[in-house]
Amino acid sequence: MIFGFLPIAVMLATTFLIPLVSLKTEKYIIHTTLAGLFLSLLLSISMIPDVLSKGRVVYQMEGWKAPFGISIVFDPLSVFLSVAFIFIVLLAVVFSHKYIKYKKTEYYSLVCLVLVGTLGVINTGDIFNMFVYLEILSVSSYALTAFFKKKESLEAAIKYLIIGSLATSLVLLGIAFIYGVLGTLNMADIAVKVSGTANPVIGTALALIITGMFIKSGLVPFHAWLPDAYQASPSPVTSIFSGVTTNVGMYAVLRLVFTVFNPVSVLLWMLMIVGAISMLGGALLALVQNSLKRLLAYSSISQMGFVAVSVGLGTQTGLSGGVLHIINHSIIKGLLFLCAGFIVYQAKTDNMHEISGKFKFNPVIGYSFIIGALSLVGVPLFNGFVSKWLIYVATFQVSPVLTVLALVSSALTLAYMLRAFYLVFLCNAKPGAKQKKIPLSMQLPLIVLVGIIILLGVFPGFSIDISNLMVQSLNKQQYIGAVLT
Amino acid sequence: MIPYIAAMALVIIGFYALLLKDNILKKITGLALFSNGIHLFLLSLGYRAGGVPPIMQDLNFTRLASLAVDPLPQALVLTSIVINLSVTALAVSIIIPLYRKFKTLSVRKIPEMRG
Amino acid sequence: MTGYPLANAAYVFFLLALGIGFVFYWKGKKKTGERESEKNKIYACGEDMKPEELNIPSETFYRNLIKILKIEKLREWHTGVLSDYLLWIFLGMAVLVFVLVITW
Repeated sequence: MIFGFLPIAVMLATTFLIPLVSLKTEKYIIHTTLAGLFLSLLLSISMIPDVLSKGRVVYQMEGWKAPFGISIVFDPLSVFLSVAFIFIVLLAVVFSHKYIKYKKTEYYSLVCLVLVGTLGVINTGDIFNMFVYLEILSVSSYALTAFFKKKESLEAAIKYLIIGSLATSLVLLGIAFIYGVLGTLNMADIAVKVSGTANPVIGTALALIITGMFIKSGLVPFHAWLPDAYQASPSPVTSIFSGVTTNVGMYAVLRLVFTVFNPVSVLLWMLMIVGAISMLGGALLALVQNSLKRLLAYSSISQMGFVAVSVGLGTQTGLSGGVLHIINHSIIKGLLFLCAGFIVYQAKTDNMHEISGKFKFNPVIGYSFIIGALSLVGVPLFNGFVSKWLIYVATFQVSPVLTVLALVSSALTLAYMLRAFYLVFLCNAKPGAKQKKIPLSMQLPLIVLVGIIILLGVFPGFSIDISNLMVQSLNKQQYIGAVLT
Repeated sequence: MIPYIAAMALVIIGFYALLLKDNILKKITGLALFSNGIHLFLLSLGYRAGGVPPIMQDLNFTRLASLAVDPLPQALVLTSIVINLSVTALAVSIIIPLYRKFKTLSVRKIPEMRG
Repeated sequence: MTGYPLANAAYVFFLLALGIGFVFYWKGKKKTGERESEKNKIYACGEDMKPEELNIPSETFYRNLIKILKIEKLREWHTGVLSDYLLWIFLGMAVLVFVLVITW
């Protein structure tokens, strides 16, 4: 079927169509972007029946056969993640219709480029191809961080740029070592050749690539760019960062550790230790923040720690809880950062102590924030409960110490989310301030995300089935068998 | 042997400059040195003593394949050089308004976002 | 679509999510009633109590927790200087490389 690389091709075409459309008029930029995103979403959803019935769909670019050419692999993990990510970018673009008032061409093209990079990393089967798409994703997000040329945006952008470039250069060094020892760049071929050798150079290469991916996903000793970059970028861009680009790093770690290289116990212990430190460190630091977006950024670090701990257990329940938490976290954090954008649109400031009385109460923002906060903590009836329950069960089966750490982090999550809710909505509240009217395009994404949170929470069997399917697609033998036909 | 030593020396010097220098422009120069060291390392992986450039003069594939150096690292390095060029250009274009607003390029004096 | 049940369920769930959201939106548009009626005043066992006096002091609520867990020390470590952050990354990378090379 020709549907293979069409989502990426459609997004790339949209990226280059937007400046052409803007030469004529600025009115139709948003329509072009939305048309491209919808088309891409429909193409990704139509891949689902094919992938579910055949297990794995593999395309070779330009017809070159497997170890010599670039393969594009669609399995349930990549297809469901692609659908979720395109959906979040779609809602963020709808939100930013009235939020971004100038330089629209640059903004929408860069957002489409971020999506091109993500879809490329998720769907590829060749390690250097993954590096190239990762660079496309990173360079567009450096430019998006510095979008408003304020003092803090420029400072955050230069820090993100230097740390991010270091990360991708480390990945390139690891790829150079792998090519030198094994002589191939195809992920399935590497998986075949790595099983026999015990070369310390491969250990170094794996350590360098995993360090680069940890930097990209914001786990603790490597997290320093994250709070600044999330605080200083425009709010819909931050919801794309937390929903899409941070999770790409965790996907790459999953793919490399479980499918390409053997999941030896040293690697899994590293994942668990780094994850445990991130869980606690992110939650502790979020308790003393004054800025709403910085608080949510530290919360993202903590949730990525949950995913790393759960993935590092290596069991079926652990992997499925971790992968489901990736999707749930992107929905919840997307919602929370869009709420923060809603607040900043009116109050013009981010500091929680100065907001009161500056924005008009609206049931949409109230419900959205409290439902997002409760779902992040893991209250039943919302989708955060499903993935957190799987994580608790999985960690209990391995060692109860990790369960205690996870529960303490959830309690800290409750502490700082309640503090945020109290300071923003309930403290010295003067209702009905005279502010400008909120456009419908800013309320609609919040409503849709709340609906999805409640639906996924009330019917949890659906998400557990999907996450079990996604975990089975990490199986090494089936991957090699499908790609190297 | 010598290209590998030179490449690792470039990597180490670039990494030192990236970590320990105070001026942001020097850090970006260090990043460029770091990535150029990696490119030299990649290129010298494909070297074959006494090889010819991988350009076909006549249609004899097997003879070319036994004589030419490996063309795959050359493709990887070309891609990576272009990517690093765009990252360096983006970095310098972020530093220009940064200097106008902060009046300094020192990493110790810029930070306003702490904690 | 070929009629596979999970793909159809995905379409139905997206539409249902939109429907539930609209229900919330319409319910929230009702006008809120009088605020200072007798039923809405704060009950404080017969005393006069204004709403502002019941506010929890936000800065000091978690003060003891912050002191025990030394969170301000952690906050001091994030100096904002790029060189320190790169040093952390270098140390983390050194630990990872050491551990993975020794035991591979």
